[in-house]
Amino acid sequence: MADFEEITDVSQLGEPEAPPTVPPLAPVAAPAPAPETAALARRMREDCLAITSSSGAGHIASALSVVDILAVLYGSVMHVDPENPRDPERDRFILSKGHGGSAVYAALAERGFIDRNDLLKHYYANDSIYSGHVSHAVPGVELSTGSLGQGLGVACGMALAGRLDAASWRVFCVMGDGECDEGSVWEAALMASTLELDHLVAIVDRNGMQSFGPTDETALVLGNLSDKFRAFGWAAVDCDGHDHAALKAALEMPHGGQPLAVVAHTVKGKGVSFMEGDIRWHYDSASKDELRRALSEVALQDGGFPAGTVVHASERGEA
Amino acid sequence: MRNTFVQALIDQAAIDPSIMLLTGDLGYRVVEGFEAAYPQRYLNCGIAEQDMIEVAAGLALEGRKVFVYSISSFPTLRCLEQIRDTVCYHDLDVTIICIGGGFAYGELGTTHHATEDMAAMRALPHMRVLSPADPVETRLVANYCFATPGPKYVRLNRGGEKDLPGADAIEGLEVADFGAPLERVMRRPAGDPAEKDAELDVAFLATGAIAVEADAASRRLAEEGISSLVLTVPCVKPLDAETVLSLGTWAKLLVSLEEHTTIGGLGSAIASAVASAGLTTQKPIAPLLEIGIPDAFPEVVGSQAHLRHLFGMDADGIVAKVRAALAR
Repeated sequence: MADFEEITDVSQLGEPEAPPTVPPLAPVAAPAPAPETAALARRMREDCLAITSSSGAGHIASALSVVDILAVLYGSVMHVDPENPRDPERDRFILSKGHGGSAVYAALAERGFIDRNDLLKHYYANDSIYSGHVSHAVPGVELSTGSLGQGLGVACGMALAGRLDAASWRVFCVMGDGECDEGSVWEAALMASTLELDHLVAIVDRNGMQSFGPTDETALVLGNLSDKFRAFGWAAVDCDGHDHAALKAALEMPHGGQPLAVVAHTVKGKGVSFMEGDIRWHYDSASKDELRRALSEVALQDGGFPAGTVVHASERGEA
Repeated sequence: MRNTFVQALIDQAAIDPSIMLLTGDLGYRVVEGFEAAYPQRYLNCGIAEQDMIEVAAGLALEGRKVFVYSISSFPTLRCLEQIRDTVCYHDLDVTIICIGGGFAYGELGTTHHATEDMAAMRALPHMRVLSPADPVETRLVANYCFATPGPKYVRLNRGGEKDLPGADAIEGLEVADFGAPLERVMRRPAGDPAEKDAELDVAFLATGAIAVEADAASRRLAEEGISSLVLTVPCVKPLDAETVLSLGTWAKLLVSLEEHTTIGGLGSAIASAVASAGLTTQKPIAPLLEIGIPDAFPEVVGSQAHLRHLFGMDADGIVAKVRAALAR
C-alpha cells in the first residue's frame, strides 16, 4: 500500500462530529438492489482481465486499480437503475480517466445495464460500441472520455444544472492521478469551489503511476493531491482505494457547501501479483497463460464467465 | 453585430428557459444585459476556456441550450479538443459565439486575430459554421441557433456594423429568401443582373463583415463595364453547393471572399464544390478566385481596414485581383 496516512480527520470539513456513514445528500429513492461490493469487485476484476486479454487490449492495470472505487460507487453509493439508465433522478458518473473503460463496462455488465456475454464477445472488436476508452454509446455511460483532463469540467456543468433544477442527485467523477498534470483539471477545480458545487464528488485514483513509471519521478511532481484540492477550496480526504468501507465512508463524508475530493490511494494492477506496480501492464495484454494465472489469483467463487467463453486473442488469430 | 446577437439572446431567453449564457470573462458592456435579466442563467467562467466548453457541455447534457461567448481564437483554438471530444462527439446544443472574426481586433496583434477559426470548426463533425455579414444576418443567424439543436459556431465581427444595402432575390437563380432554412440563404447586397439570362462576368461569394468590401468592389467594377453580383454566405457549413454551382455555370468568374486564411474556410468549401462538380454536371464551371489571408501572419499591426488593404482584401485589392483574373 502506498505510503500515506489514512486520514479521516474531518476537522477541516467543518462538521467533525458528523458520523461518516450518514450521507449528507441521500437520494430520494433507495438505490436498486446491488451486489455486495466485495463480490462485485472480484467479478469485475475477472471481467476486465477476460475482456482485455481476449481482445488484446491494454490498460488492464489502470482498470484493476479503479475496480474497487467503481464497485463501491456502483454497488453501494450511487443511485442508479439498470432498468432505467436515463432515470432523471440517477446519480451521474463520469470516468475521466477513460482508459479504465473496461472497468466501467464490467460494472455496468455486473449491474445488468449491458449484457455481460455481449461485452465479452465484442469488447474492442470491429463494429462494436465497446471502445477501449469508455463510450457513451454504451447504456449507462454518461460521457465518452479518453483525452485526459476533460471530465471534471463536464461534471461541474452537470452539477450546476442539477442545482439550478434543485435536484438531489450527485455527480461522481473519477480521475487518474497522472491526469492531474492537465491544467484543465485545475480550471475545473476552481470552478467547482467558486460555485460551491456540493453535489460534486471527484475521486482521484492515486495509483502513483503514469506512462513511464512513478508519477512523481518520471513526469510532474503531483505531491499531496488532497492538500492541493483543499487549497483550491474543496473538502478533501485521503483513503485506501481498495478498502471498501473506507471508500464508502469517504464518499459519504459530509462536505457541506464545498465539492468533495476523495484521493483514493491505490495500486496499479491491484489483485494480480505480477501486474501490481509494473508499468508494463499499462500497455500489455495478458497472454493465455498469464490470464489463467491472473484469474486464479483473483480467485473467483461466485460466478464468472461460462466455461469456454474466454477465448484469448491468440486463438482467434488476432494476436 | 455582438449587441444584435446578445439582444436577440435576451429576447429569446424570455421564451426559452433552457437558454444559458457563459462567458470567458469577456463582453464588458455587451453581456451585462443578459446577466441583469437572467442572473441564474449567466455564468462568467473566468479566463478558462477549456473548462468553459466542458461546463457548457455538462449543462447541455442536462438539457440546457448553452451559448458561450468569447473573442478571437480563445473559444475555438484554445479549447479545440474539448469542442471536438465533448461538444461535437456528443452532438450537444452548444453555440460558440466568437467576437473579433478576422482582423476586427487588428491593432491588438496576432493573438487577437481569428483567422483560422472557421477552418478548425468546419473540420469538426456535427459543427455548423455561421458567419453573418451584417446585423440583419446576425438576427437571422441568432434565430437559426435558437431553432437548431447541436453544435454551432457563430463568427461575428465586433460592433457598429451597418446593414448591407438591399437583399433582393434574383429571378431564375435558386437563392432562397429569409423564409428558407439558413443553409439556403444567400443575400444579394449588390450587382447588376437582375435576371439569370443576363450576361455575368463575376459572382462574388462573401462571408462575414468583409462582404462590405465585395459590395464596394462590385460597384467599382460596374463603372468599368464589368458586370458582377455579390451574394453573402451566412452559412459556411453546411454550404449551399447547389447555389454555388448555379452561379458557377452562369458567371465567367467565381470569387470567394473571407477575412480568414484561404486554407479551410469559405474559399476551400467552394473549391471543393467546384472541383467535384464534374461528378454531377456536364456544364462547365467558372474558375474560382479565392480571396482571403494567404498562409502567413501579418508582419505589422494595423486597423481592420489597414490589414485588409495589406492583404489585398479591401475593395481596391479585390478590384485589382478580379481585373487580373479576367484578363487571363
